[in-house]
Amino acid sequence: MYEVIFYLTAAIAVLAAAAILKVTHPVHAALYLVISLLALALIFFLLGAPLLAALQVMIYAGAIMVLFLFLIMVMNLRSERNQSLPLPSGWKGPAFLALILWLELLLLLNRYPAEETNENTAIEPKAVGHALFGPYLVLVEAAAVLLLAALIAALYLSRKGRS
Amino acid sequence: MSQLLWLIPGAPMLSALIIALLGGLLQRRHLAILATCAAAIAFLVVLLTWLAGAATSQPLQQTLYTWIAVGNWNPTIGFTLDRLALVMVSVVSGIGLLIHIYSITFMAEDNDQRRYYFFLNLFLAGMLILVLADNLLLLYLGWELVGLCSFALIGFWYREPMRASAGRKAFVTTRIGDMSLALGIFLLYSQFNDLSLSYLLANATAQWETGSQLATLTALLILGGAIGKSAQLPLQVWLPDAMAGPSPVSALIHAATMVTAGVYLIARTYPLFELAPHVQWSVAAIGTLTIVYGASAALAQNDFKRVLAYSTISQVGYMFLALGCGAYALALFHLVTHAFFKSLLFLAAGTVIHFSGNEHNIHNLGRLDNHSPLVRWTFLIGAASLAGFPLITAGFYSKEAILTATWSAPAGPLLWAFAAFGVLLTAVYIFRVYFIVFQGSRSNASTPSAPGSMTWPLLILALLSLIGGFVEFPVGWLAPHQWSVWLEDEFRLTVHPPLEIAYSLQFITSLLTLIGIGLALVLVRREQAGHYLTKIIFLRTGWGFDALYQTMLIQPYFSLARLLKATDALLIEGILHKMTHACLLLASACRRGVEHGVLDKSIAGLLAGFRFGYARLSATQNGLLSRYALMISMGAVFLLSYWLW
Amino acid sequence: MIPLTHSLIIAALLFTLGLLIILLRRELLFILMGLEVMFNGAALTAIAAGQYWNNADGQVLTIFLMVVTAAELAVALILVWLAYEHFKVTQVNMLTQLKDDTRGEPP
Repeated sequence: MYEVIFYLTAAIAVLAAAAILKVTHPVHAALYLVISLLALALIFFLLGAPLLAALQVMIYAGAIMVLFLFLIMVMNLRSERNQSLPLPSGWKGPAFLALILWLELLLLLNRYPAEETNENTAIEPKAVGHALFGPYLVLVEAAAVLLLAALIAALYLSRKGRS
Repeated sequence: MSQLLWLIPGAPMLSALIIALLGGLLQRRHLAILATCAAAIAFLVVLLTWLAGAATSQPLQQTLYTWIAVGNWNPTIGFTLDRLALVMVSVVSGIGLLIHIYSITFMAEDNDQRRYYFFLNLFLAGMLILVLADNLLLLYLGWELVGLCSFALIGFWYREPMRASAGRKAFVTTRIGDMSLALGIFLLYSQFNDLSLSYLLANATAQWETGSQLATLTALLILGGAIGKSAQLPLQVWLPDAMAGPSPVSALIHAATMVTAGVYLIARTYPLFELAPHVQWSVAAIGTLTIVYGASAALAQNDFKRVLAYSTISQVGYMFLALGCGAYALALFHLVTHAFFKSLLFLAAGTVIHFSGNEHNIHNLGRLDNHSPLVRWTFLIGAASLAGFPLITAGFYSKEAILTATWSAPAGPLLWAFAAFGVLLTAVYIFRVYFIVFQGSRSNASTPSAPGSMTWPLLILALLSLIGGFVEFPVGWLAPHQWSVWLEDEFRLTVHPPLEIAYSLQFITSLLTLIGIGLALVLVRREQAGHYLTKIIFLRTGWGFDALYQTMLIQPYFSLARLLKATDALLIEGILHKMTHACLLLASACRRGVEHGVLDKSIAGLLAGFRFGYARLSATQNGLLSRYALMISMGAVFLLSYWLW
Repeated sequence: MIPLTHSLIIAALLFTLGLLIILLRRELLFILMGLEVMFNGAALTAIAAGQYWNNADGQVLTIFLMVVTAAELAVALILVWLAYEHFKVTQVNMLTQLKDDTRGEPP
C-alpha cells in the first residue's frame, strides 16, 4: 500500500510537471505547478520528512504560488497573447538533450549501488531544529542576511517614481 | 553603577541611529536638540560614576555580550572604567557636550544638519567606545569609527573640491597608522591568542624580556598607529588641511579628543613600551621634534585655524614627550588641560570667523576690529594657557610638569632644550595671532553679539583653562600633587630631578614664556610695517612636508602608472596596429604583384572566411535566453559524459 | 520500502523536465516555473539521501534551498514585471538587448 501511494504520487508529480510544457494559459501552468509541488510534499512525507512536507506546502504552495498568481493577475496575461508558441518548432533538439541528461543522471546516481536495507525512519522536526541551530547557525544567519538583501532589492526595484 | 556603563557610548550611538533612520521626520532644530541631549546623557552618566566613587574604587566592568565566539576566542563587547579611562571619558563627554551646545547656533544656517549631527554623535560614540573598550578588538572598532567620522566631517562641505580632498588626505594618511596598529593587534593575537587588554599586558610583561625583538616590534607597530592618529612626525601632514571642516569639529575632533587618541593608546599599553626602551625613547624623540616642527610652522601661518592646527601638532608632541619619558600621568594631565584651552581657542576662532563672513586671514581679521570683548578675553585666556603663562593658567602647570620630568630621561637635557625652545616659540606664535587679530579691536555698536549657546561653552572652557591646573603643582612646591598621587595605581611614579635643578628649570621656562610674549609684540610691529613672517615659505608650508611627499611618494607613483600605461599602449596597441598595418601592406603588395592572381583571390577568400566565422560566432551572442540556457545544458551534458567516461 | 535509487530517478526526472520547460517555453513566467521544478528535483535528492543515511542534514539543506528560492523568486518576479512594464513583452524572444550587432562590419 505504501509503495503504491508513493509511486502514484511520484507519477502525479512528474506528469504535472510535464503538463507545464504543453499548456498555453499561465494560470493553468501555475495550477499544474501547485499540483506537482503538493505531490512532492506528499513524497517528502512518505520518505519520512514531515517538517519539510509541511514547509513545502506552506512556502511553495502557499507563498510562492500566490506570488505567481498575483503577477499573472497584475500583468493580465491571457492565453491569446502567448498562443503563438506553445511548443517552438525546434523542440526536438532540446528534448533529445534533456533525455541524454536524464540518462546520464541515472547513470551517475546508480554508479554506486547501495544495498536497500535501510528502514525509512522519520526524522523528527526536533532533530532538524537541533541541526539548524547547532552546527548550521552561521548559515541561518547568512540566510537571514540573504532574505534581507532580497527584501531590499525588491523594495528598491518596485519603488515609485522610477525614471 | 557598572550596569550603566553602556549608556556612555550607547546614548550618542542610539541618537546617531535615530538621526540616520528617522531624521527625515524631525525638524532641523529638533535634530540639534536630540543630538545635544544624547551628549548630555553621556556626560551625566560620567558625572554619576564620579559621584558613585569611581575615582576611588576598583575599575568598573560591564560586559554586554560576546561579540564573536570562535573556538576558545571570545572577544566581548565589554567596557572597563579605570582611572585612565575615567579621565578620558570625562574629557570626551564634557567637551563633546559643550561642542554640541556650541554647534546649535554655529550650524543653525546649514542645510545638512542631519548629516552633521549624525556624524558628530557617531564620533562621540566611537571615541567613548575607544576609551572604554576592555579589549583591543573593540578598541580598534572605536579607532576606525572616529577615523571615519573625522573623514566625513573634514569633508563636510564636500561640494568644494578642496575640502573634500582634505578629508581624503586625512583618511589616507591616518590609514597608514591604522594599518600599523592593526598589524600590531594581529601580532599580539598570534602571540597570546587573546585580545583582552588586562590579560595581554599582564602576560606580555611576564613572558617577554625587556628589549626583546617581539616587544620592540609590537611597540613600534602600536606607535605607528598612535603617530597617524595623533598627527606626529612624519604623518602629521593631514592635520593642517583638516581645518577645512567646521570649527566645532576642529575643536572637538582635531584638538580635544581624536588626536589625543594616540596618547591614550600609548598610555593604555605602556607596559609594552616599557619592554622596549628604544621605542619608548623614540616616542620622546618624535614628540620633541614635533614640538619644534609644529611651533615653528605655526609662526608663519596666515590662516587663523591653521595656526591652531600646527599648535595642536606641537602640543600633542609634549604629550608624546611625556609618554616617552615615562611620565604617563603628566601626559594625561597635559591632555586634559590641552583639551580645555585648545577647544576654547578653536571655538573663539570659530566665533570670530563665523561673525566676520568666513574670513580666515588673520591680517584681514585684524583690520575688522569689531570683535566682541567676550571673545577677545576668552581667546586671551586660551592663548595665555597655551603659552603657559606662569602661575595663573592651567597650561603652565601641565607643561611645567612635563618639562621637569624630561630632565631625568635618557639624553634628558637635550630633549629639555628642544622642548623649552618649543615653549618660547609657542608663546611667540599664539600671541602673534592674538595681537594681530585683536589688538586694534574695540567694542562698538557694530559688534555682533553671540547668542548664549555660543558664549556659555566659551566661558566654561575659559574658566577650566584657568583653574584646571590646580590639581597638580610643580615639583618641590608646598602644594598638593593630587593628580599624580591619584593615578599612582595606574602608572608608576614619575622620576624627578633634584629639587634645585627643578626650581631653576621652572624659572627658566617661565621666563621663556614671558620673553616669547614680548618677542611676539616686536614681531607684530614688524609685520604691521610689512615684514610678513609668512614670507618664510619653508615654515609656512610646514617644512615643505607636502612637497616632499609629493616628490618622494606621489610623483613616483604617478610615473609608475604612466610607465605602465605607456608599456600597455606600446605592447598591445602598438604591436597590434603594426601587425594589421603589415597585413594590409602585404595584401596591397601582393595585389600589385600578382594582379587578379591567385594571391588576391586567396586573401579575399580568407577575409570572407573570417567574415563567415565572425557571423557564426556573433550568432551565439544573440541575446536569446533559451539559447544561452541550451548552451549551458549542453556544457553540463558534455561535462557529465566526460566524467562518466 | 522505497529504494533510494527510485527516489533519485524521480528527482532526476523532475530536474530534466524543469530544464526542458526552461529550454522550450518562451514566456518568462514559464521559465521561472521550470526553475521551481528543477529546484524541487534537487530538494528531493537531498531529502531522499538524508533519509537514507538517517541524517537531518538533508532536510537542513532543503530548508536553505527554499530560502534561496524564495529570495531569488521575489527579485525575479519583480524583474519580470519591470520587463513587462518597460518593453511590454512577456516573452524572452523579444528581450534581446544583449544581442551582438551583426549588421555592421567586423570590428
